[in-house]
Amino acid sequence: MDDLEDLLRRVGMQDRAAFAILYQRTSAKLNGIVRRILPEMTLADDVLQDVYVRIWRSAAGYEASRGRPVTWLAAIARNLAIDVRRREASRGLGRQVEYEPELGGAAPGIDAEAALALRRCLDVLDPTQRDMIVAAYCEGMSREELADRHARPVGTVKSWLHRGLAALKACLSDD
Amino acid sequence: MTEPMDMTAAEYVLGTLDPAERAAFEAVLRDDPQAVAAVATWQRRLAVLDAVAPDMMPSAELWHRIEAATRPQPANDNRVARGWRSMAVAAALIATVSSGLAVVGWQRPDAKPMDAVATLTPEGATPAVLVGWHDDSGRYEVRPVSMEADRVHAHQLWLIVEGAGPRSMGLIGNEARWIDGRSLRPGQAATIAVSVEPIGGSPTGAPTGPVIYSGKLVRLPQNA
Repeated sequence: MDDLEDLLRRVGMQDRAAFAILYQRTSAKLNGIVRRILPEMTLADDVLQDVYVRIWRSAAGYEASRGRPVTWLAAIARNLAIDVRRREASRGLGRQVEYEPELGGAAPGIDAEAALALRRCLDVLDPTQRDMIVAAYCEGMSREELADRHARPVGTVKSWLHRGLAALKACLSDD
Repeated sequence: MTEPMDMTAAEYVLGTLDPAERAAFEAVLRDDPQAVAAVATWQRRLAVLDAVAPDMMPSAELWHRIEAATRPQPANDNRVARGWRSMAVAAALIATVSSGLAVVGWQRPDAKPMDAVATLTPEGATPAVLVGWHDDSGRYEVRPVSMEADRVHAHQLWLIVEGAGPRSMGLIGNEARWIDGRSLRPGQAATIAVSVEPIGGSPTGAPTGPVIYSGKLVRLPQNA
């Protein structure tokens, strides 16, 4: 089985066969990431298309020392999905669906230890701070949407996010 | 890494910066390796939240749309294949961050590292040309990445050092090339640009056509 790093390297050289395998291997996960942020299927499909076009064009810039391939791919998917979500929100198409991530066992590309560490550290956070971080990351919620959900001013949301992130960083103590 | 900068990096990864803050931070990411590293660290910290996203098969026809959208135009076939193959030996240390790209360095594993690098881009888009400068050999390394060339114009490379007009560095095509820069040293601050010129190059010695790509040459940290 080709590993993702090798596939990405080949995609960077515009190897179409490698691109097809990369799509088979990663599209269900990236689609899941996009759909958490954009539950509407038509929008999500368009975004996922853009995600893979972006991957095809930028794969040569992937640098293994800066992160795992899945992290790089997921960042592209999240960023494009969040861009579209913000654009839709400004047109008044917001939504309020709570998402509860399963931080259970291991997942492909991420070792069980990292999953456990993050779950442990999220657990020690203040519940509101934890919800805000997870909703921002997984659902792509903006500070304004978080302020609405928690009935707090945007400034408060920002300082809670910062406190939560600082606590998370201290807990993971991985610098 | 200052605390406020690290929090900005964290919120950048989280996706909660407002558009103005995000644009400002993306400008920082273009030439601050520490900020790029902070983003990578936060991406790694939160990556588990990606891994736990549910697997959902996309619709069956999506792959065909993606294939069609990425298929090179027939006229471009050769140049694309050649261009990318020639990059195979170079490691492009480009960290993709959000919709922008931050270049923190780029070198051949078997050569002395370059001392400065410029990414030439059209406004806010994917890099078109990477230019590296080597102090010791006094040479520029030019690597077209996604340059849009045609057959009826030449692309001319220019060095712009503060206080002087643009000086021609020669014409570039779709192939990587080295340019002797011993009489074109960049000094501490320089900008490199590509203009579209008649075949054969600018007849006047200064750019006559539109500048389509440009970028600041950024000094890399000594131990990069």
